[in-house]
Amino acid sequence: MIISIPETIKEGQEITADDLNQFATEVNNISDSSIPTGTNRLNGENIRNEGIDRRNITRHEVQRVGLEKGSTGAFNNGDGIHYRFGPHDDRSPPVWYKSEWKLPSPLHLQHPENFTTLPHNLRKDLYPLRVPGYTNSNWFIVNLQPMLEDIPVEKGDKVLVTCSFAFSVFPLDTYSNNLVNSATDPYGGYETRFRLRSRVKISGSPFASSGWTTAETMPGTFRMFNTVASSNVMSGGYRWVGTQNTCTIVGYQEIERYQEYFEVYLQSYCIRSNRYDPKDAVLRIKAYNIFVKIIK
Amino acid sequence: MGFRFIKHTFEDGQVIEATKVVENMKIFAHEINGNLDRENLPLDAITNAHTQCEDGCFNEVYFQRIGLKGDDVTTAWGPSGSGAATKLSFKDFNVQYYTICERTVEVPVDSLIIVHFGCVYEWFADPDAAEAVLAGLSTSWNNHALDLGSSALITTYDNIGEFFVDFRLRINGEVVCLAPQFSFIRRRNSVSMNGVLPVAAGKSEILVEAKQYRLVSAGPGRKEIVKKSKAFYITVSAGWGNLITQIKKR
Repeated sequence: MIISIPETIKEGQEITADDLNQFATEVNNISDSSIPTGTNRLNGENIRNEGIDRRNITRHEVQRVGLEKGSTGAFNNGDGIHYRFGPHDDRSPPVWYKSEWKLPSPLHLQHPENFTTLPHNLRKDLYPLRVPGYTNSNWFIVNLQPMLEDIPVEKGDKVLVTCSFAFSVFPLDTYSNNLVNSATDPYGGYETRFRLRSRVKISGSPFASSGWTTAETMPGTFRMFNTVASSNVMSGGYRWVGTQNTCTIVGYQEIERYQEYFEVYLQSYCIRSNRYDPKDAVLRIKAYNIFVKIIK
Repeated sequence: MGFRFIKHTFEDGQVIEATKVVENMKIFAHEINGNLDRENLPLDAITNAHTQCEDGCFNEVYFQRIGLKGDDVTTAWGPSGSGAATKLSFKDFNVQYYTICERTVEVPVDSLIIVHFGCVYEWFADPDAAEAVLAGLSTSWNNHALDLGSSALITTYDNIGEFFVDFRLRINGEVVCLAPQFSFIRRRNSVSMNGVLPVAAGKSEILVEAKQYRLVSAGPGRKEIVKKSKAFYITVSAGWGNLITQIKKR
């Protein structure tokens, strides 16, 4: 309902009791039906363009509304439903909004049998991922479990994924000065590659089997990092300089009919930049966080 | 609703101007018609999972991979279809910004444009130009190595200078994000940029641009000289990056 000001109130024109009563009545009606104090009272009639902005609703209130939603672990700021994993650094556990969400161990590995015990001299690295040997059949050998999983979606949803993290790549024995790669060989320093993958869960489709689809790369999310620098800081000749950097990847996906849940993965692998062979590298991913925004 | 200040107070016997009555009414009307606050929107009043606002509100997202044509126009990559380049090479490019990705969107009303861009790029060496800078530079670099130790390369490193690429994101000509000086020492690297700009109704142009150059030392305490980068140049591959454009009106 919109409150109107009587048009008859003008200079030189008689103001009647009806004019004033009309205004008072409209105001009174608002208090009866449209002030959004109850469930579902907020609608297109009492929200219009620019009607509500940050001056009217503080961030605290918006987040409070979302957090009170219950079991979804999401918060809604009126612009989309947000899911967050992290922020996480390498000295604290992941922070989650809702404890009932499944908490993967920090960057918990999908194929732990591929990874060997790390040497004690890497003890300062709380969550290192050792990259095993490269194989032609599986480039992306560090395959992380979904960082956010079972996110409910529906047809027409627009999913924006923003994933940021820091990483470092070093020879396995950086601290003990063994097994490092000589910079005199033509294989190059370490190179890491990342991508976001996603999959959806289908239900009730006459055209496709129900269940999770095969995870696919989110278009355009492939990223690479390496360096050509070497150094002789260790005895025994020149060594490749490790790569330390940060990465932000934004992915996008539209949800189609019969797709009910969404999951997202961060994947990576490591090689030497001039040869597909990681040669005992340690890739460490840290300070990671990921946001998924569902725009209805 | 709490107490609201009334602009005009009338007394018995006073001749009231109609405009003053209207002004008083407007205070209430504006309050009720849109200026909601905590007094008329209590904590936890919103209980729907989402509220669909009408009256022209929208939230659209456009997606494209770089170098691949959809409904967008990527003139920097040449013609569409099979004639489009799979790589955009900056070899022998001048010191100026060149477009690597673009999009034109049309919005019906004044809106907010939010843009995310990310891509991979690679540095390559032009052997002759690199050797002209320093003997051995091309061979070393093409073996994915640049010796920072005590070899001849490092002793003359200042003379080589640095090779850089700057990236920037523009909306309607305005630079909304600048990612400067990515060095050739990272042979393969990635860039991520984000930007936001309120725009007027009509067409808006989004451009992702890159500029490569060489900085050469002119001596201690002096500004570096900007030169064309001949020895090293970047390439951007089709599909290895994306431009995500969100347009919203609240």
